[in-house]
Amino acid sequence: MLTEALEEAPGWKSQETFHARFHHLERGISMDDVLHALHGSWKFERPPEFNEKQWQWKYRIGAQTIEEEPLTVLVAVDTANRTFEVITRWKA
Amino acid sequence: MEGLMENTLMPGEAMSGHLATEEQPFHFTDSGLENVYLVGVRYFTAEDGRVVAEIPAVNRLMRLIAKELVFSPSSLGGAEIRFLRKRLGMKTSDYCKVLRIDVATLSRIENDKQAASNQLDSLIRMSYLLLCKDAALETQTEALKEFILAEVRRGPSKRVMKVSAGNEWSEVAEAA
Repeated sequence: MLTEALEEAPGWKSQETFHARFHHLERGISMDDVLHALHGSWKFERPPEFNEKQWQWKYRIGAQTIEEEPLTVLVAVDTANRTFEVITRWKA
Repeated sequence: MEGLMENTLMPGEAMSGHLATEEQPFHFTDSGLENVYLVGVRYFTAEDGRVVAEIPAVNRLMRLIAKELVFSPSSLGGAEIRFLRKRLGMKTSDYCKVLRIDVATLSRIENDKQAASNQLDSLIRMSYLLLCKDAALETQTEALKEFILAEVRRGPSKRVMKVSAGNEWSEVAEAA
């Protein structure tokens, strides 16, 4: 669903709305590094956390940039509004 | 050492929303290019000025930017070449093998310390068309392949020039 959200326009194939929300990227990381990380092989770095106040699941994903440098992407999934939000990322 | 980036907006944080318009477009620096602006997307500003954008179908957007670059009449700059390389998902060393240049040269080019030659500029554009997985560019890719293969099949071409009265030169169509 996340990759679909990245690929397709809102409402495509579904009545649900998918968005990907990105921050300004820094440290030489571009949008394509994040896309590469999300489309490629990755693993959860820790169990997902649920925030009842915001009704969001937060996933911490360990992946790699295009240059194969470690990258951590934090993805918030709003189950009520069916949105994905890339809210930050780390780099070792 | 890992750490939370300082400009992170947390979910639920108070933000004011805006719609990017032609008069006030959103500067899409996350693309990796300095001159890309978006219209029609929503962006959010935190009280301290931090900004995030909500970008639907971001892969489609990135492919469109790449297509615009590949068919741009102006020479590719360093950031644009890096953009096309990253669009292909290729790390520097692999891309250098495709282009048959060394890593140091590509690094200088991507950092605008050296301009790409016209030949390399063309090769970068063609390699993108041939290697990208963009269905919207398949027709252009096929057209490019056909053009190259037709040139190969034809072999060295013979150009016949004819002079007419008044010393006017013109090219004569080559006989089949």
